[in-house]
Amino acid sequence: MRSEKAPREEMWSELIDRDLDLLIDGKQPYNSDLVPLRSFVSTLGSFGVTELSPGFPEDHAAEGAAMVRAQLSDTTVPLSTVRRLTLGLKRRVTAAAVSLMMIVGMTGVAWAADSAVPGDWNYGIDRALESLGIGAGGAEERLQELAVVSEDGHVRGVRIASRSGGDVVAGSGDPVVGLEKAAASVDTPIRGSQSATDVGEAVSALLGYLANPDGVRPNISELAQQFKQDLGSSESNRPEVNPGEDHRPDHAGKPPR
Amino acid sequence: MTLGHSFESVLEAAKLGADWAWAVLYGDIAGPVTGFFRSRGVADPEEAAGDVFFELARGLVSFEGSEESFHTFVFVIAYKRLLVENRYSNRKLRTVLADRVLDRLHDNAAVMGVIAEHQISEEVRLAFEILTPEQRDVLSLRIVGGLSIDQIAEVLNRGVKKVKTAQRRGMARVRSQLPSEAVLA
Repeated sequence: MRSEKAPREEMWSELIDRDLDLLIDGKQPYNSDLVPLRSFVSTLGSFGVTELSPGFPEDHAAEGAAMVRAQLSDTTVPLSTVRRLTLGLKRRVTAAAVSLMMIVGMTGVAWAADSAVPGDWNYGIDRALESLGIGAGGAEERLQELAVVSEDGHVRGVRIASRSGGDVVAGSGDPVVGLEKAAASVDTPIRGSQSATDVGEAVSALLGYLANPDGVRPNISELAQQFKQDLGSSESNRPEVNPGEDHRPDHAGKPPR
Repeated sequence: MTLGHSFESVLEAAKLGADWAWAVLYGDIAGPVTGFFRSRGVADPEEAAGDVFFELARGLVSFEGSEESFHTFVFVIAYKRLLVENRYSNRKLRTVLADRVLDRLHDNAAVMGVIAEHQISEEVRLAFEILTPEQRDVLSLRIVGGLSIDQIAEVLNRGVKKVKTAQRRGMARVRSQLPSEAVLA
């Protein structure tokens, strides 16, 4: 059921906006039905002309003017020559300090990574830096790594080093094939043996192959020969290694697993 | 609420930080802005107007336009301030009431007094109660703020047609609450 006010609302919905504008502007509307709204408009309009607290706009006006003056002084007053030079020097010193810190930090990481061996947390960094030409790298470093991990009885490291050795001498022909075979020969005895002696023998075999001056550079051959001799003399002192387990002793810079 | 031809020179002087120019500008807008907040039931209209003036002082240097645009600019700031007020006023009122009611449960008159402090005049309150928030915004800006339909559309970020409809329906609703004898008067 619709109330009796509904038709009136409908009528008002068709009211010309011009009449409302006249009413709000304090003028006589054409539609006499708007006349009762005068009191509402008048009362509501009086809110806009009510007296304010003494000094209210004046205080804020002074504050606003002061704010604008402060803004203008911040943006338009030129810096003195001394201050500009000081600021420029500060910026340059800051930039130099940041650059130095970055260089030192990167060098430190590179230095630490360069001595990493397979199985170390930073070994990947070492390889990445080598690929960029940072650090020694090459077959010689791989052999040195192989020596370290085999001395430690680091079975997994030996495998990694054996495999990565092939990458280093890639493109040199026979040494690549030889390293791959050597890696396979290292893997096989490790899986089937009960002692670290097998690891040592496998590595010895690998280094024996690399000791051939025709396959790799002479300095590598010398290193390998030396290592082979050392390996043979200390073979009896190696700790036992159970198959499938990682028994390497704590290596410097190597986190526990 | 108009400065007319002098507006341009007053504005330029205000941008340079002249005290007198700011006094003229604030003298022109302080009443409507404060009245707008008062009509919308803001607890402290002058404080809210002070916030508007502060924002105005921060933004006036980059303002360019006519006096009409300036008024629109001022009420855009005022309307945003009102929205912030509305967001917190209910919670604030409830908190005040809860504290006072707990302290003075025996004194019902005191509690009613606290409520009355947060009310606008009875006549406007009754009229506004039947309006939608949009209609209240439009009628306050139109009648108290003195803005045109186009200016209100800009302040509320709505279409002119919607603002006109809100004004028409709002006035129709208020009119429907008035005694029918008044029609014959």
